[in-house]
Amino acid sequence: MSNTSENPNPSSSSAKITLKTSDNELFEVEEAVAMKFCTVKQYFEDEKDNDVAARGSSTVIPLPNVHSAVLARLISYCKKLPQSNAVADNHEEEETKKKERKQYGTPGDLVDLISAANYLDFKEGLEFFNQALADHIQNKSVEYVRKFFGIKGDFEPHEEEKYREEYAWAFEGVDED
Amino acid sequence: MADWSQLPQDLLHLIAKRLKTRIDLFRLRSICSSWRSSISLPPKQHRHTPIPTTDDSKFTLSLDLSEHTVYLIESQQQGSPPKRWLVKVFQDQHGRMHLLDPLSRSKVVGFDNLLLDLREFKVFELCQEHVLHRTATYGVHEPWRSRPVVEVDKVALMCVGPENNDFALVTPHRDGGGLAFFNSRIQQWITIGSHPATSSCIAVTHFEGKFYAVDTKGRTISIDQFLDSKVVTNLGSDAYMKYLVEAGGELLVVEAYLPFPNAEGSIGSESYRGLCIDYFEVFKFNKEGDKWVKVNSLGDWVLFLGVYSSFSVLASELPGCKGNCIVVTQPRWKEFNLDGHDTYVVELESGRSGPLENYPGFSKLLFPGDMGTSSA
Repeated sequence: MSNTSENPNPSSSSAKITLKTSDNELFEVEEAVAMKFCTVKQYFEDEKDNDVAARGSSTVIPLPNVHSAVLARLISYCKKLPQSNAVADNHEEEETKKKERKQYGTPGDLVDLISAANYLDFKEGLEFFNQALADHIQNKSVEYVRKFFGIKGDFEPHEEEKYREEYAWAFEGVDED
Repeated sequence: MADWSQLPQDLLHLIAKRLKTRIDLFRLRSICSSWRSSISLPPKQHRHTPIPTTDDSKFTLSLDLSEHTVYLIESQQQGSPPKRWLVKVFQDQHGRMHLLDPLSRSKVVGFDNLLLDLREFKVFELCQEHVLHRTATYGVHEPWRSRPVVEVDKVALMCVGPENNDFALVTPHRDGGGLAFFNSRIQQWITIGSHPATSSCIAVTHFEGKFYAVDTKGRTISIDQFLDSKVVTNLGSDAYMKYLVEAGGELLVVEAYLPFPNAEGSIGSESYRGLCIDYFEVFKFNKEGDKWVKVNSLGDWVLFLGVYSSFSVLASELPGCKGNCIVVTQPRWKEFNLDGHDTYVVELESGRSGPLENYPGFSKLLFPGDMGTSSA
């Protein structure tokens, strides 16, 4: 299905908004897409109020915290939002969604996507990428998670002992009732 | 590469929320000190919660809710193929841990004073089971009943409320055929099901945000957390035992039939040995039509039918185990007293069945004989 031939919201199809990333790349995106980012929406609305003098669609909204590579991925995610955000009501659908989340793969990518979604106040995206991250670390060992994130354990020996306690099952010879 | 240890606290919070189990949260707290300080301890479980009750003049009743968690544990020893075990863990009100048979409440013997360092294992939380302990203490006018009477009931429990801090539960009603409903926020018991008590509910579970119960006649009742209850369908069967279990996103009812009518009496007798159930039938719930549809094969699923709750696992997750099987437990009697439980495996395709020890894959899974070897 092509994106240009079938626009779900024809009334806004003409309006484009230009976003400028931290590396000075310009992105021209449909208003419907840009409005998913609450930070952009807020900026856009403030701008409209302050400056009605028909700068209109040529407004460039700066996003100093977002790199072009990340923004491109967020926009492409945005475009397929309606399908991917449906509530999974059975096992198969949940599996498909899991696979979809896996595509956003590496930990480095995810931290960028999550930080950017957070900065842009892009709720669905933040939920999606957080879940993608949770998928990666669910049921994994501490060592795996540390390696995955590239984090070194920095506990002092006495702290280490404390978390070990939290993490140990000691079965005792005491009757239940 | 981005530095994950410096991830803002509020973001880490959001990610932690996405994790489903306490084990995962503990693990996240073990990653590094900045994460540890950002992620608070998981909310208290309903491990051991006293529940208010109305006192009868003849005896004092106290109710305690206990939580058991079923885990699939995998050893991570290098060089040898992974081993897996199914365990049920119970932490009592003093914080002591107990290892229970996954299909009953019996303690697994030989595992006292065992320490498992979970960092050496891969741990999957499968499900939680709740039971209600009823302790009736009789007053002075009944001196012949000097010892409190303890009974244990099966319970279906759902977390409710904005932060999932409250819970709602249903349990088969002791006196009469209906169900008893309790909500921790209103702290009140409510009886559901004004139907004449010609049959009683024998299985309860929760599925997709609702409670489901089936009674001895196969009548199926759904109840939401706001107490809206209805009879959704009627299986119209008189199977000896019924189990509700979820597998692969479907709600199943498993019907267990005895070899001949009125066989129930003989099960309690000393002479009876072996699985008393002749055959099983499985139905899945069709939400659109509100009806039960016969299932001929479970595919790769294995159903574990326990005394208090049932669960399912894919055979591909269980080394040495076949799919399309039912693992079921049955009480063992000695001089008319309960003397533990026996577990049987039933192969649905061939109809063959036998005691657990005839199935090495399943018996290794359920009796973690060599689990201790990799612990400290």
